[in-house]
Amino acid sequence: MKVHVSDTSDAVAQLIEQSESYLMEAGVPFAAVHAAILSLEEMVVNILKHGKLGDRSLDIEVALQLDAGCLMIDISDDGQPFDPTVAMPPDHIDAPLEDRPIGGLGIHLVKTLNDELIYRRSDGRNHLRMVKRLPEAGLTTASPPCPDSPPS
Amino acid sequence: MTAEYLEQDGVLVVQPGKRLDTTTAPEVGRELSTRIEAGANRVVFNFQNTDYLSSAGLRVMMVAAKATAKNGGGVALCGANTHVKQVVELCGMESLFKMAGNLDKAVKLL
Repeated sequence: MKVHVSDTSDAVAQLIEQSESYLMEAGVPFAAVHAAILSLEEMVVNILKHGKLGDRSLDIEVALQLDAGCLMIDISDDGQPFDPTVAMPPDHIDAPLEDRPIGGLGIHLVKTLNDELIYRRSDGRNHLRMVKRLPEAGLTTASPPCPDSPPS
Repeated sequence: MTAEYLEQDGVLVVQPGKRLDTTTAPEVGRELSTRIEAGANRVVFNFQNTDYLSSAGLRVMMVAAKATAKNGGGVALCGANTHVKQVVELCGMESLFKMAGNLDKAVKLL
């Protein structure tokens, strides 16, 4: 499934709805669907909030694919270079309530919910691949490794 | 309607809809701030109808926890499904909120 995300207020809601129905119809377990749409929301909202370069509107492409027991989500955007794989975890996660800043938890969630995050910058675009291994009911043999390089 | 607001034994009960996410959280946040400023200092988030919580929703809950703690109050959660609980726990926030199995228990905890 491929979606172009426009820079409008209801674009994220539409993306979430489309992705959720695509994954549910494909028979993906709900826990994995939940992790996927949460990861999508966190990353796309982050790009829309912080990725803008000047007044130019952002071009964001999202692709979802299921392959060899893995769910892969590719997000590509032409905004500010940003590598979430090297973003630091929030250091306030165990801080007392009054010391905690509001926010900054989205990327932490995305890292925790996915098995792998792969980032590269090329042709003036950020390419992020989030990989989640899906539990395969009834299978005892190890499944092949997930494809790990984002498409060029 | 992104959420319903009720009162039980002097406690404000917020019942979000199916999702508390980047689309619905800002409105809930505004409504809650108004009510907390007007004196509500004990708040229960009742997630019985909610199957999806994102960090935007967590942010609203955290703002409410901070604002009510200032006035000696607090925030409790109830009715959370496993996914909602997972998000709260992955962010290390389970200690910020009083967790209860149902609404009556949540109200009593505050």
